[in-house]
Amino acid sequence: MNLIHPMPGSLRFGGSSFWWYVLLIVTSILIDVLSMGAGLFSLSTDHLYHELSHMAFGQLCHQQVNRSLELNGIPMAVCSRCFGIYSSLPTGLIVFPVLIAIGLRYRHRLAIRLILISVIIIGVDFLGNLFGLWINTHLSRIILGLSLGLSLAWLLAGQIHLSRNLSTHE
Amino acid sequence: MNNDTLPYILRFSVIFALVISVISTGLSYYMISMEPSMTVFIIPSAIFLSLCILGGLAGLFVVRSYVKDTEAMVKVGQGAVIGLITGVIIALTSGLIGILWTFIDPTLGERVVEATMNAIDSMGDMDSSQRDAMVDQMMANDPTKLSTQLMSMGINSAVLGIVNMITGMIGASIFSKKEEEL
Repeated sequence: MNLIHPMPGSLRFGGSSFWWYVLLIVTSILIDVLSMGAGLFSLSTDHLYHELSHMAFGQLCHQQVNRSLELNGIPMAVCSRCFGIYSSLPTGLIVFPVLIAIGLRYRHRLAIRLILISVIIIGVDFLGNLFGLWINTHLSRIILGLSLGLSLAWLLAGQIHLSRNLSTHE
Repeated sequence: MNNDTLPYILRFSVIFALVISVISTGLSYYMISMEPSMTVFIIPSAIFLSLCILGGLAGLFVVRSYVKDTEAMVKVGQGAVIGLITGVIIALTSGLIGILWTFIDPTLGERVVEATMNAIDSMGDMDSSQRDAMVDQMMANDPTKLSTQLMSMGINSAVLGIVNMITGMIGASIFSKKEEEL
């Protein structure tokens, strides 16, 4: 008897996929640490780590100093919006499996919709700021970044939950 | 990883790398042809950033294309490997094209740095600490040095590889058919 009704698009997350999830958590933590730049370790802007961390995100973020947070007086390697994404992704990847395990219901379609909504709102916020309709702040950019990072984490964490249920009931 | 996915990976990687290289090189020429102003930063950086974010989504596109054509089930782990390889190939190919372009136009990097410095100087409302921080950041990543380009290629391979690994996993989560549907 089929005891569970997985959402469309659900996958097995057993075996190697589980270890990819673990690897994903580890790498997303490393990316988060790297995105905070040299200030996290109280290093100066002359340090090689500062150069490397900025180079690492050079193709993914505009890295404008006035749109980036500072740690110990050193600007982070990414803007505040990207920092929101990079910091919320590993947090969500760790927290959501726990929340799902204690009763939070995962909905696959909702997770995808949340990702799309987050991307659209970020796009609107970016364009509104670009064309001078409004001025976004560190806080607004971080919140929007957090929403995207958490939505992505929600999707991935939900998939691991569904696949583990599939494995258990087979 | 299934060998069937390799043509998809190569096709998307090369297309993404070529698009990123051609447009970013075009943007460099656009920047040096502009009068020094904030526009030198805003338009090219917005376009370049959009392109690079698109490069980070390549893993998702490869998985989507593969699933659409073959209706195969792609596990999240397989999506991760597909994305990882795609990201690394994009970074290496676009980095290589960038290095090769320096043989065609050796002074391009210097002219871009000069145009950017002039644009920074034209911003009268920027306080000196912000200006110094921007200049320091730019000089730390001096694009005119071959060593910088090689180091950048290596780091981009790692970062784009990881980002595409994540998007490949997301692609597998969203697009892959589950076994009951096949």
